[in-house]
Amino acid sequence: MASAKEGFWNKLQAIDQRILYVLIIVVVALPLLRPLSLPITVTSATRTAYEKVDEYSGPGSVVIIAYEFIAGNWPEMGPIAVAMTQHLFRKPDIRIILLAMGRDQGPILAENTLKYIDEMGKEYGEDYVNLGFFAGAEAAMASFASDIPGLVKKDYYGTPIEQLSVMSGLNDLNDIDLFLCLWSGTPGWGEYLRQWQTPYGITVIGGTLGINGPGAQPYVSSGQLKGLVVGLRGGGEYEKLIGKPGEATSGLDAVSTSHLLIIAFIVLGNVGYFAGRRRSGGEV
Amino acid sequence: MALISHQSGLLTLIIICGAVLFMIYRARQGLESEVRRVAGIDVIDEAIGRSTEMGRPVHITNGLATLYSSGAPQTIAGLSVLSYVAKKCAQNGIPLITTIYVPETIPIVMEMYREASVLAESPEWFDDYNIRYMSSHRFSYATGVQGVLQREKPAASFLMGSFMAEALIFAESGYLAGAMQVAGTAATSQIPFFVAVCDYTLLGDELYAAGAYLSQDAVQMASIAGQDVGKYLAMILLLVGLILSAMGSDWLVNILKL
Amino acid sequence: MSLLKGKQIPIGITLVVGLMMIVNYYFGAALPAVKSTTTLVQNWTVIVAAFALIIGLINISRIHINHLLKRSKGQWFFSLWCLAIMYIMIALGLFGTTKNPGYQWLYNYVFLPVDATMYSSLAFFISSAAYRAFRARNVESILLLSSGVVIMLMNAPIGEIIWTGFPVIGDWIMSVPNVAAQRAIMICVVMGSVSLGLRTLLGMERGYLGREE
Repeated sequence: MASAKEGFWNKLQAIDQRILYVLIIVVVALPLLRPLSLPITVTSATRTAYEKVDEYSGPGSVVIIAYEFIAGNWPEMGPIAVAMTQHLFRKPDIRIILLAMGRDQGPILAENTLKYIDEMGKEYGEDYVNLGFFAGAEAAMASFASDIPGLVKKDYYGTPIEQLSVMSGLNDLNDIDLFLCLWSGTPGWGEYLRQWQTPYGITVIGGTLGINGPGAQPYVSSGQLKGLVVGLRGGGEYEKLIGKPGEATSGLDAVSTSHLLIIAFIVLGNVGYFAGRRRSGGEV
Repeated sequence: MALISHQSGLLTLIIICGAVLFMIYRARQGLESEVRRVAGIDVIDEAIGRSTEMGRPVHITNGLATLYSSGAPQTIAGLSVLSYVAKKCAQNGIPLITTIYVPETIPIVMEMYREASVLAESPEWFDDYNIRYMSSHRFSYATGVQGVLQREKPAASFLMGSFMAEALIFAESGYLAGAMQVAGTAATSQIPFFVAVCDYTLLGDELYAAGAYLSQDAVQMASIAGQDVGKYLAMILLLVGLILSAMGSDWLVNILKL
Repeated sequence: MSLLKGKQIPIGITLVVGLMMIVNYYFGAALPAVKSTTTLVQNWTVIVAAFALIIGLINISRIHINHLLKRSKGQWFFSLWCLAIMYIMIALGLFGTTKNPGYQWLYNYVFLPVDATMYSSLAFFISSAAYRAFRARNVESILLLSSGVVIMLMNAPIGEIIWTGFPVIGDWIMSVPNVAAQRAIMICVVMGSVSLGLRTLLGMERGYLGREE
């Protein structure tokens, strides 16, 4: 009898992971099919990022958005990219430059982002431009920062820069008012920090994966990042702030249920561990 | 002074390099530095021994950082470990499978394999089939490594270098394959996953010290001691900065911004 | 001949290029010749690295063609698929550029979903890792476990519904102990990389060249 009970506690610590995987599939899929519509509260971090974007993208400003993530990150970074890009596209009389210097997939993901937003009557070439990917990571960033016309000869579609009025008068990074850095790894924020933020003091607002959030916090504390939108939660909050619910909002219900399930797994495992330990300790 | 960029950084670099060079000089004079034991490095031989007993291969991968990126030191450190592991595997006659993300390391790894087989006097050990470039795309690389771990079932798996999200894929796949896993990375976002899943983890600068530590060369070990001067400097700056900011002074912050 | 076979040349190149990069970073504004040379070398690096992809292509092709020729059991059809899709994408990208409709279609409807699927598989691995590894064995693991749970509930909207204190505590954990620990690890990593860099420049760190014993 004692060994049967011990066996039960040991089994509780060693549940077949296929059962765990099936449960994960169920708790993630169900809220996507039948939304729970749990309320999303906007945290101070995302609100700060939103307000800083508002503050530094006034009429006449020039904004760069760098899409430094890969296709695999789209489910988490896509909502952030769409929400922040949409926020900027709603601003009157600003110039928006989309580019990538660390990730060659950046320009394609920038195009993907534009498919999801309302361009609010902005004209390509006059109000916004996709400059494409510049190979060389830090070297390209340094070149761009010091001499934009020297590096940028044409846009992503091959149009010479002289034909794009959005780029007129831009000589170096001092002519840029705001930089949105959407990154998922390396090359990413670290490189822009060294080549753009530190030497030029450019205002930077970041958007990144949940897993990068803790690592980026020191830069928010030091003021090198004026704001930071983190993960699917941050994307959902930003969607709420711009009043355009999207994929993040619908995905957050699944985040809630899956997190609860993982916590339940952890509790089960610990219950089994402590009960099993007490049993074997009490029956010497 | 305006013609010198990052003056405070330059001064810090000079201090740290000076300290490292001083410790190297001391070591050459016979004054050895004591470096604490690092469990994750000490266990490398044990892991290879386990593979030898079980007759299963060893797996190693060096992560994502290219040799011209900011993560290059992690790749270099990982290659140092690879070199040591290759030598040991060649001596023991067990296959070493290297999965690669950074294609420019392929010739480097090949040369390591050749040297290991020559040093072990076992030219038949060299098999370039065991040097497998997966992809320069993260999740393709992750899938490839996962496949290698599941099919080849190594008894030891070394994950040494810069990793991102695929770290947990490797670690869990290695666990399911029954491998003894030793990981080392300076990527702070992945350290928790490695600590949770792998048997041993080298944290941050322990990975960088691995090459020197494995060489057991007193002069190289002294360089590890030298970098501690930089840590003491950081602690002093922290304390001074804490006191000054409590007094309402920005002086140190402005100096360090130079 | 012995000079070419030895390691002196690569160590010498490492030293010269490394010093040039350091001098450029700190004194580039005062030395335009160094700055322009460094930029040139950096551009060479990008080009050489791009050619290294060809080595990777040859490596993959050799391994998988080998599987095909041997009809490796349980493997050869995957090798065939790998080679087919790889060369199709290369052909489309080379001859039609990345804006080619075929390339775009394969990227958007094959590559992107498959990539996202692989990333999503982390959810399963995280759940099994958390279940297995988060045991309250000692004080450190209790701290790890409890802060992990609080942060999870901070990130999930349901956490605030359960208790409004979770976001507050979670925010404190992220802003205070997390920032402190991240900064400490960053400082140590930087020290370690400076030491490693110095050893590499001086030719003491030769592991990446193969060990000499």
